[in-house]
Amino acid sequence: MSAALSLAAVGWVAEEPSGNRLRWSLPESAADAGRHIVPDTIVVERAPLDLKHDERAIKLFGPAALAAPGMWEQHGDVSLSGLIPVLEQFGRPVQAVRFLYSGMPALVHAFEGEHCVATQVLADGQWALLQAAAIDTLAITTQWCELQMLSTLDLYAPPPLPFEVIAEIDLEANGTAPFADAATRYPATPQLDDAKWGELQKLWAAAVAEPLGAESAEGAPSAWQELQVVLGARWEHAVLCGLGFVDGPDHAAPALDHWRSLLTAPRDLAYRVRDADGRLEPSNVICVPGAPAPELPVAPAPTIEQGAVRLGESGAMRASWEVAWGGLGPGSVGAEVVETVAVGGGSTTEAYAGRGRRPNAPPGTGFVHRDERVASHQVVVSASVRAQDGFDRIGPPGPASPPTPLAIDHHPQPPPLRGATTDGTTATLTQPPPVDWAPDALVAAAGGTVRFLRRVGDPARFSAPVLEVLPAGGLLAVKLEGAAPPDPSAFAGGRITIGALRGAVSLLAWPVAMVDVSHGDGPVAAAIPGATAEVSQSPADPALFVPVHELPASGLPEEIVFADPLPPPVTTQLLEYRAQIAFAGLLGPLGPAVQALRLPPTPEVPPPFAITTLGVDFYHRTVVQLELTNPSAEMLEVWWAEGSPPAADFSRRAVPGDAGVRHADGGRTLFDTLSLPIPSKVDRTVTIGVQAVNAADGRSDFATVTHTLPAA
Amino acid sequence: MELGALHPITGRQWQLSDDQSRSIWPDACLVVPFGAQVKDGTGKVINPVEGWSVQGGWTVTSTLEELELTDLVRNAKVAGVTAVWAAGPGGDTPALHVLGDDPFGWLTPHLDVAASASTTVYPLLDQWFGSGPAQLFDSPRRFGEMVIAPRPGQHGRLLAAPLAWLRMRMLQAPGARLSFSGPSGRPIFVDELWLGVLCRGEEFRGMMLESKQTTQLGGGWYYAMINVNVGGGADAVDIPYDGSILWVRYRHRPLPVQTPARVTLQPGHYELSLRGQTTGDAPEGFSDAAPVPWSAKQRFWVEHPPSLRPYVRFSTVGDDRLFGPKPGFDPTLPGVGFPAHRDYLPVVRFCVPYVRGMFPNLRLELDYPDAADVVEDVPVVPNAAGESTLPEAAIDWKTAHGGSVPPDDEVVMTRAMVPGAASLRLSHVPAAGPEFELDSWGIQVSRFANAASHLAWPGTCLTRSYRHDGPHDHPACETLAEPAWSASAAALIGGLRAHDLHRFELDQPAEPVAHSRFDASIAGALLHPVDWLGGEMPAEYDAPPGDWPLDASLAELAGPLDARAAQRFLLFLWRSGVRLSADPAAPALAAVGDPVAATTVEAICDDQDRPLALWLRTPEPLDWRRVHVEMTLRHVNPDSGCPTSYANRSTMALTVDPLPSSDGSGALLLARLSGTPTRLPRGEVTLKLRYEPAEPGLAKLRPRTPLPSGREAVTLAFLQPLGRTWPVKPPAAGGRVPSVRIPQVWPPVVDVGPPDPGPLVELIRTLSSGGMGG
Repeated sequence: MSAALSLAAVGWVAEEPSGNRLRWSLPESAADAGRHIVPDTIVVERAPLDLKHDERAIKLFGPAALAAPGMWEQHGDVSLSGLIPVLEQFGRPVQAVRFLYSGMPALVHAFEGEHCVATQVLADGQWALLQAAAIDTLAITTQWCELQMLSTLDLYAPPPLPFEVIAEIDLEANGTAPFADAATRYPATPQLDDAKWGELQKLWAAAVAEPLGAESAEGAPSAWQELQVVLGARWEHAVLCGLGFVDGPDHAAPALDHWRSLLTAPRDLAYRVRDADGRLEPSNVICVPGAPAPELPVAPAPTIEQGAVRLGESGAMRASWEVAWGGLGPGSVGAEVVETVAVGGGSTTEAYAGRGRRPNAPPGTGFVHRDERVASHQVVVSASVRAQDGFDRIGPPGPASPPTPLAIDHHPQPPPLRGATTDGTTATLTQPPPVDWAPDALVAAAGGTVRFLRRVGDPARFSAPVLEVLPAGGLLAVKLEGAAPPDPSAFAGGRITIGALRGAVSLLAWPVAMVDVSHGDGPVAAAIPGATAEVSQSPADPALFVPVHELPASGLPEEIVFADPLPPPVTTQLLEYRAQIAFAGLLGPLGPAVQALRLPPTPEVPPPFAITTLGVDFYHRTVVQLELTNPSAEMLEVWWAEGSPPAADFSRRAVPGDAGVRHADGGRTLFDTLSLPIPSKVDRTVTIGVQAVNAADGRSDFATVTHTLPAA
Repeated sequence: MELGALHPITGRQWQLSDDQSRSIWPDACLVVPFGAQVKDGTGKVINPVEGWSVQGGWTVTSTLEELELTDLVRNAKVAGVTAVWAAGPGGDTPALHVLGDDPFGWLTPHLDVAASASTTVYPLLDQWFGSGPAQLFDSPRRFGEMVIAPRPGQHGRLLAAPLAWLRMRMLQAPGARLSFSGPSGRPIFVDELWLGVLCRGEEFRGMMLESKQTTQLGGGWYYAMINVNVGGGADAVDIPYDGSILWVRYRHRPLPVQTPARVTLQPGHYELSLRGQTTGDAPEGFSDAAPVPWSAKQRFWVEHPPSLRPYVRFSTVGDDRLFGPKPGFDPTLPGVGFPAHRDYLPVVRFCVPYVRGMFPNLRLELDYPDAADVVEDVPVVPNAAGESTLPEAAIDWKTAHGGSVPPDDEVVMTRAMVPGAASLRLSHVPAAGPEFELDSWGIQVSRFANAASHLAWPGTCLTRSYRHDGPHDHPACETLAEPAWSASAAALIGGLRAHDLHRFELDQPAEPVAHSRFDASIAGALLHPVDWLGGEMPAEYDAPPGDWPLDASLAELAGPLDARAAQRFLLFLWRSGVRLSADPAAPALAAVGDPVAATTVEAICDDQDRPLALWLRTPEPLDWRRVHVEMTLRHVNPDSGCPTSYANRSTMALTVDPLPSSDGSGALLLARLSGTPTRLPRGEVTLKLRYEPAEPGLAKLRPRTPLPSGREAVTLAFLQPLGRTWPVKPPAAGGRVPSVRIPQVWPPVVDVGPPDPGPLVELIRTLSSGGMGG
């Protein structure tokens, strides 16, 4: 296959140049002495044919569409069974396979070598048709099925046909022939002229001389690839280069080639081309009915897809979108696109050819990707298309798509923050030096702002047993058991841990969590049913934050000071602030957190107090009662020191009582057990102090009382 | 490489040095800090690892080829040297502990970390086949660590799963070779292998392979896990399944683990030497790297620890807080602890099983400042209970790998103790040289032999109470006699048992038997004539009614023992408004901390003389964590003054929260009925006090003579004549119960029938005439 010519035809076209339009291409990989094989002479052959209506009531297109029934090889009904999907090896690659399917619903994959070239869903009692340049294997995902009336179409080995030579095209002349001579191949007014023909000749010469597989620098196409693009752009170019031909009545005398017995009216025919020297294998057979080629259809309105306005790497705004079309008919190879783009206030209209088609998309569909630098984030696109086929025919214009505004796809990072402080009334956030953060072009153009948020909730978390685990694409579907958390959607973007498996929760639609485990090509830790899943909300979930301040993104000061009144803390409090960009009605991601520490106020010195000793316990510790003169709501602790040390020394010399920190009973009464010295013969003096302590272990100064322990 | 040492019990660390002043202890581990775990070529690493990693496509393997410890004094290799990769939070660490015998032992002083530490367990891994286009392949193809080599002449197939939502490819490669290897081709052995397959129901039913779990996916498709037998481990298998494989689940095989006995060094001079090399296996197309050798040598000294304190897990005498933090209730003087009762043996339990390896015998000495010392040389022995201090993770690890967990050592003093303050000294008396002290701490030996004698009170009536106006002493009331009907009922029950008609369990209280149920039984029918003996008992409240619950300010002070119990004790007395002193000029709570001369029970009353709590006071502190109290109260007649008889009412069963005093020598006993703290009514109170030598969470006390029940028990029964009589529940509010005290027995159950009424009739006649009373 790789060394064979490839032939295509559109059928009879009435417009100039009228006749059956043909074109062929050279094999990509056929080489001789390291260069592409380019025949010196291409021989065009034609055979009369009796095309009848296809007896299989199925809709055909592509290579199967015009094939005569007799060209299909019949294989009868084929039953296939086994634990594995059925494989059907053909003798040599075919271009089409069709059968009436009988069996359970399944998928059929058609392979060329190791590559899957076509796939179709199979249902019982329905026809299947798989077409590709080459099919050598079928794989069907079922254990039993029957392929009824199985037929294959091999266009490279058809039944013998009475071919006769109608033209001999001298490709060798391409390099030197003047344009006027070359133009005799194209029996109509060409669009090329001398100069462009000269350029095409240079390209031809470079491509022919280029080693097979040559690569150009930085991704530019090689001369061979560039030649294929030029030839593919217009059928006229192929004809002028001897890679196309019109079998019709408009021809004058050839200047470079030979032809004879050309058609004057449409007939059922088969064509084939071959290398006169036989270095390349003959082309496939193409069948042409004896009737005018069908007109190209009116194109439906295209759709504007995947539109987005982004910030490019250079910092400039870029808009990208795709114009996608369908319904252009199987014979179309692309579309002529007329596109109107409105950027900000103004708009421009442009026409261009679009030839893109996705690998698995059906014929008649296509798309073109567009990427433009824009001056505004507001971009609206509309377009209409006309079908184009590979033989320079163009269909009627269709309706335009509705104007489609392009979404902004931008996730600007907020300015970095270095620290945060708060006095409970005013918060201050600082930027790290140098303070040179500025909004990007898109945020600036949209008049964006920086919002500052404070966290008001802790990330939620829950545990649940795992019921089932199934992979689903790059994700794991984890079915959980038990009671649903109050707000399952809050866990999207959070984390999940199941034994050794750690992943991000893409979605939690209770009881199923979709988990992204980001494993690359390697293995992931298995999540076993019955294990416990620990699920936590993202600490940066916006639902945990409230906005507390907002400033224009441009001209942000080094210190951002704003009012953020808060009730006094009862214990140590850690406030978390983050920044976020707001622009064009959108919000960027939350930036890193900065934290401000708040301590409860240092308590005041406790009120004065009176001391009563209540006795001595088994360990000779003294039980004391302290009565505050005024009630105190603070937590208090009793200390004592021997003697009557100066107030400044008391805290250094004193030791606490056994009772520790607690509230006074009724705000006034404290009991404690102190290991005071036991006087024997003389009174002993001790100093007892009371200190207020807050929940953050902030301590007041002591209120002290000197107390005398009477001698026993 | 800088080598260190780590004491696994205390966490103390040393930098290894040939300086005798920096000697390590005999049971220290030598720590070799590798950058990553290395392969063991010595056979001495008890939890060896593969020791290779892939770095930039190269498979880098470091191998430990020599690990020796040389006794430089004896010029001999130390036998039995082992090493272990230490475990930490998140799995193994690259720290090799030479002389360690389990990965978790070094976490003994960090039990919180030990709880979250783990050895690296190879997880089960899932290898998928991606979501790309369908493909055929006939040459080996790698998926992560897996290589699929199709059978010659056959394709391996990667096809989209027929269920669109699966969005992934499945593999079909019947008979293909499935092997596991690293990027450089180094084989990986797996010890578990599963195939996650997608199949039709009929296919699944026909499967001959072991299937673990199945899930129906809809559309007639099933997902099943098929186990592939890899024996003890394999690096390649032929795929035994012809159908569609969604993924392969496997686990790396860990290397076998040993659990040898621990080696403890003798004091001396040693040298540690290590040697190994690192190799780099190249990926395909590159040359292997030249091996890089590495080595380390370090001399060090070993000496006995200066003190046994780090090795002591607990002591049954002295302050247990000396041997580690013991949060919660303990009002004793730090360093002294609760007085030890003399009927219990002083036991010092160590936290390792090898103290006897360092000190086969220890001298225990009770040093009294004002009495003759008590000295005893005792052997260091494994504790008979087989208990070990090792973290649970270490115990699990050892037992899981076939090892045993040796019990910790202990010493037990058997000589009798003398009451009073003393010091307990632990000394080593070497074969040659002077005795040296290894540890000592203060203790207090109780004047009581045991807890029962400590708590025993001979009184039969509450005679002292405290009110807002000070203490009040009352004359003791006389003990009440049992009513005749009670004795008769006991005789009846005995008679029934003798008659072998019915089965009773007298010792277990049961819910009151409804009269109707009782009537329905044969015994009920037979006993019916005795109903008249005492009349029916009134129904009782099951929660304190009216003004009986304690005020909220007092009730909130009841509760389990904690570090604030002493405060709650003082606050209860304070808030109750009582005065403890008869001297009106004295503080209300004067002498509240003073010990009493003998054990007694008093009452804390409100202004109406109704007891808010009982106050059980003893001369010495007692560990109330070991004391469990139950209280019952029999109602009495009349409603004031000294009781003269028992009321024909059901006995109240109350739960009790002891609220110990600030030194633990006494406790307020707060009664609860159905969970509500309540005032106590008049009646005969029975306190059952149970003392648990083996209270969970506390050091186990060892009685000199084993206690038959494993615990001590003492019952205090006394009249409580203060306050009011517990109200009777109005009749409309509840049903009636039988008058005979048979409600305290299980419902009669017929064992054999029909009964022979003869003896019973006689018995009933006898009872009716008041005979058989005792």
